[in-house]
Amino acid sequence: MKYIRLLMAAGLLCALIVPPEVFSADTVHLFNRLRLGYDDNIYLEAEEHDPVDSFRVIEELELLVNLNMERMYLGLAYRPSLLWYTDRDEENSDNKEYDLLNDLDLNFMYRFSPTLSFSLSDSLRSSRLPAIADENYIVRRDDDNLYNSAIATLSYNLLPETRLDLSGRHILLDYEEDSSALYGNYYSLVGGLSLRQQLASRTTVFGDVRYQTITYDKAPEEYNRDAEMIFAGLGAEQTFNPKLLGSLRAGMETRTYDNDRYDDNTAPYGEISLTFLPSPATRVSASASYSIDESDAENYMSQDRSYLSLSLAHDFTAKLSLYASGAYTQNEYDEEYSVMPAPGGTEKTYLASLRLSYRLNRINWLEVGYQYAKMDTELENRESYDRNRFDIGWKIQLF
Amino acid sequence: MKRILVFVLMGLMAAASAVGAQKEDEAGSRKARASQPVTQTQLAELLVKALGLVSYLPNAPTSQQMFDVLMQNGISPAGGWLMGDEAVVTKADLARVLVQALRAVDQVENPDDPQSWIDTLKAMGISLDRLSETIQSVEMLPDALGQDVTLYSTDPLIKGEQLARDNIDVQYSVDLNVLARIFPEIEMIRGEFRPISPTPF
Repeated sequence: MKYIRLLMAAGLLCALIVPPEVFSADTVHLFNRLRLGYDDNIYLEAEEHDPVDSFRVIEELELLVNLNMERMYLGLAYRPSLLWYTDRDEENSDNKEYDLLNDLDLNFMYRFSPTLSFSLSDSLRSSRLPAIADENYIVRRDDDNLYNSAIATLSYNLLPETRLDLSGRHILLDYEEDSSALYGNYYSLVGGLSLRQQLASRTTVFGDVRYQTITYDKAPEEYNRDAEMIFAGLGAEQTFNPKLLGSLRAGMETRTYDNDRYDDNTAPYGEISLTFLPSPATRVSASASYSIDESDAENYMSQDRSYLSLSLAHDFTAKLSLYASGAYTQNEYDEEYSVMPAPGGTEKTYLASLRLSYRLNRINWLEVGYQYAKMDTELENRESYDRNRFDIGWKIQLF
Repeated sequence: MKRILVFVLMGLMAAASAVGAQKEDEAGSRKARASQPVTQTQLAELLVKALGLVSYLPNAPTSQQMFDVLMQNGISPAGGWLMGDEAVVTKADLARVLVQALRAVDQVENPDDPQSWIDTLKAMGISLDRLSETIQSVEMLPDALGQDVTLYSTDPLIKGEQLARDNIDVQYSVDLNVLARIFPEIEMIRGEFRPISPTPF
């Protein structure tokens, strides 16, 4: 929490420095969102274990600042969320009745000249997640943590149609509990260079190289998962027609592990995304990707991740909109890259979500949502489950 | 950790001080540009910033990434978004995208007639004579959408770290993206005593 307080102090300091005339009703907005929901499997248990269900309340504020000037842009979003479950046993939840999440996003852009510009983005996530225990096992330990990702890019237009981007990223995860920090704390550094060439009014091609390191700075030697990665790829962005736009990116990645027990892992990666407007009231987006990724399961150095998603937004009227999305993820784990001896396996995740939003007036919205999630796993110590969630919500723009 | 916070702080401070200097530069710069035609790329950048859509885009977005997020929010000229100096914004284009951005499409009497979009904007009291003033009529979209590029991207400069190991944090809109933080807050590992983690561990 001290970091949040520090950032809030920074915000106040900025408010003192920035001339008051730039803040107006158009630059600062505050939303409040209250959701009442039902979750039929709050501990993500398999059906044979008789999953625990619960009603829940989610209260969320969202403060948005949007300073838009000719050479400079500053966007700031701060979002605290409080989650309270009616049927989560206090004694089994570290005597804490609720979860508290704080999100802070910063986007800053500055154009030094027509050819040179700078962009900075920062995402800070602070989570206060109490320990939760069921009758037979512990669902999670006390899990207060802080996650931060900062990305900076310097863009230079070599020619009107040619752009060079030099980027750097720092990612940090920091647990408060020592026992969690031992295996979970890490930082990662990424450096990258991209060259983009606009070929015509509808096509851009690009090439990029990336170098990344990941360091688990508190992990013991037997759990050393530090790695270095090099990426090289090519891509294209294409406007096919006024209603269809797409992008494609592909290349090769080499991952070298600090631990000599593991061979280098070299594999291709690729991604594609499409946005299609079949009618003025309907938008469809689709994406797919494949890559070596950081492992979701703790006993593996990495995973091969395949991902597919499809999303639809449709406006029935100016006030009534439907949003639907579905996604499928398949993670392959290799026995050769297990930290402790364990067989490999596949994990499949399915997700579907629907949301209906009705705009009552200029500042009030009513929402109804449903989400379905299902995981099928072959891994040891992991359990397949499915979960249904329903919620109704009220959103209001306070100013 | 402290370095990160100092980094963020410096960003905030730089932004704050830049705002002060910015005010003085603007008047002269506007005069210089007034006689130049506006391209669709420039209009898209203005709209993305004014509508608060920057947060849906990667750092230093490209023109087509900006076109993409505008299309996902139903904002597009009749002939689609195009790059280059030849793709100059017409009054009809500007009227169309502004009416779409103001969520007033239902007020357009004849969507097939470009003049009807211009008339709708005029009826709302918005002039098309000066872009810098016209764009100020646009506010942040309260119901903005954007496919989360951090979920499907394979670029280590873009992709998001998993906030849970069960890999179900995929959503489409800002609202559901918020839920994505809430979606995977609990995981269950039978027989183990370990925390949920956004780490690859």
